[in-house]
Amino acid sequence: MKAVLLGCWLVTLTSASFAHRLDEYLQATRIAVATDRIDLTFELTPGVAVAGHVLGVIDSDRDGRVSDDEGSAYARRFLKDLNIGLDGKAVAPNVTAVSIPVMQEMRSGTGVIRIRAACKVVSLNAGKHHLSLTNNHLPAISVYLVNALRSKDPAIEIGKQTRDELQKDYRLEFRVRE
Amino acid sequence: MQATSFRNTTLSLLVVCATFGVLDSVPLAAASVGQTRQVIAAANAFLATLDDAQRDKVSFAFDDAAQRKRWSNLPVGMAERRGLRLGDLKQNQRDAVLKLLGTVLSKMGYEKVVGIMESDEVLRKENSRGTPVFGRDEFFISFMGKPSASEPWMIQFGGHHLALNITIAGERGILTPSLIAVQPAKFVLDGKTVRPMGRETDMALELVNALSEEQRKQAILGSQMRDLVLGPGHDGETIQPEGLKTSTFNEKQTKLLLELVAEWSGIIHDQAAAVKLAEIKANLADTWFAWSGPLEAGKGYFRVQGPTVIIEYAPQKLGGDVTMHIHSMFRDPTNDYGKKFTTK
Repeated sequence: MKAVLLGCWLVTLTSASFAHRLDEYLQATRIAVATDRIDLTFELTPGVAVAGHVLGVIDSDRDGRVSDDEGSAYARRFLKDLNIGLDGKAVAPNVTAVSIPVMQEMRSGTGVIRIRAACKVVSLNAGKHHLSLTNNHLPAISVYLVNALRSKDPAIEIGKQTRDELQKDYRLEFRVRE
Repeated sequence: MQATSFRNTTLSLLVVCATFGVLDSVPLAAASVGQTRQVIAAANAFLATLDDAQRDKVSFAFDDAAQRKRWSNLPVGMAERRGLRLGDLKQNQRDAVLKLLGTVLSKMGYEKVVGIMESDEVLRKENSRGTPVFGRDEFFISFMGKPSASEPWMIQFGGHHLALNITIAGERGILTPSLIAVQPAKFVLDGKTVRPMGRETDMALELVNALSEEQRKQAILGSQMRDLVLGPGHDGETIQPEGLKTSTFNEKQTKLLLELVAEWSGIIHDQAAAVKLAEIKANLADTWFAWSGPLEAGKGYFRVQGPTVIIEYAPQKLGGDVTMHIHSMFRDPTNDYGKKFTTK
C-alpha cells in the first residue's frame, strides 16, 4: 500500500515539475507607503510537495476544508511571524482581507493565499525614513520576494531597497517631501 | 494526424513568410492604416469560417473585465481559458488562426509564438500520464469587441506559457500585457535545434557582460529572484525600479539594450513595434536595468523598467535545469490593454 502511495506521489511530482511550483513556499510581498499608512499585500503560493505542510497549519481542525475562521486565524498567525519596523520602532499590521483557495488548488500547487494588511502610522514628518521587514513564517520551506510599489502618494519618494540573499530580511528607505 | 497537419501548416507558413517576406514587406508610411486593415481582414476571414455557436464562444465584449484577465502561465487544466480551443477547430479554421497571428505579429514574433507552442508539444509527448494537459491543441483564441478600424478591440491568444493580449485601436497595435514563456527552452524539431527565447537569453548575458565593473555592481541586485514580480494577476501595479540607470550606458550598451527590448516589443507587427521601440528609446534616461543570479546564459533573472515598459525574465527552478524553463512578462504601466487609447 505504501509503495502504491509513494508511486502516486512521485507521479504527481513528476507531472507537477512540468507546470508549477514544487518544493517551496513562495511568499511574495508588496509594500505601498503613504504618509499615514503602510499597506502590505502578500501572495503565498505553496508548491505541491509542501502544500500538505502548509494546509496542516491552516486547517487546524483537520476536517479537510478551510473555514473563514481558519483562514483569518492563519492570516493573523502569518502576520505574527513578521517583524515590521518603521524608523526602528515595531509596527503591528492588521489584516484587512484574506482569500484562501480551495483545497484542490492548494494541493496541486496552483492555489494562491492572498492576505492584505495595513499599518496605520502617525503622520510621518518630512525627511528620511526607513521600513524594515523580516519574514519568519515557515522558513524551512519558504522562498521570498519583497518589493515596494511606486507610491501613489505624491509626498512619498521611494529610495533604496536592501535585501538579504533570500529576501527574508528587507529594508526600504524613503523620504517624505516638504 | 491533425496535430501533424497543424505542425506542417505552421512550418509551411514560417517558410512562406521567410521566403516572400510577407510580414515585413509593407512600407512603414503605408502600413499605419494598412496593417490594421490586414489584421481586420484576417480576423474576419477566421470568423467567417465559424458556425454561430463557435462565433458566440469566441466573442466577448470589449469591456469584459473577467475575460480580460483570464490568462495565465499555467496549463489550461489549472487555469481556465475561454474562447475557442485550437484542438476543437477544423483544419481550415486553424489555418485561419495562424494566418491572423501571422498578420498581427511580426515574422520574429510569429516564429517565437509557434516555437512556444511546439515546446508545449514536446511536454505533451514527455508527459505520458496526460495531466496536466499540454500540447499545441491546448491554445485558445478569443476576441474582445469586434474587428474594427474605428473602435478598439482585442485579440487574446494563449495557453500554457503564452498569453498575448493584443489591443487594436485604430492604427495602433498594443501588445501589453503579454506573457512569453517556454519549457523546454531548447528542443529539436525535424532535426533542427529550436530555442524560442534563445536570442533574448544570449543578448541579456552579452549586455550584462558589456557593463563596466562599477555598472555591474549597481545592476546586480544581490538577492534571489524566484519568479516574476509582475506576472499574471498584477495588472495595474508598478514596482519601484531598481538596479542601474541606463542613462549611464555607452553607445554599445544602449544598442544591446534596445536589441534585447525588441525581442518583446518586436513580437507585434513591425509598424506597431517600431512605434513602441521609439517610445521606449525616448525614455532611456529614466530606464533601469537589473540582474540577479549567475552571470550565465539563461540562469539569471533580469528586468528592464522604464516609464512605458517593464520586461521581466525569470528562469524557473521547476523541472531541474533553470535554463530550460523561462517565464517572462512584457508590460506597459501606462498602457496595458491599450488603456491610453481606449479609456473614454
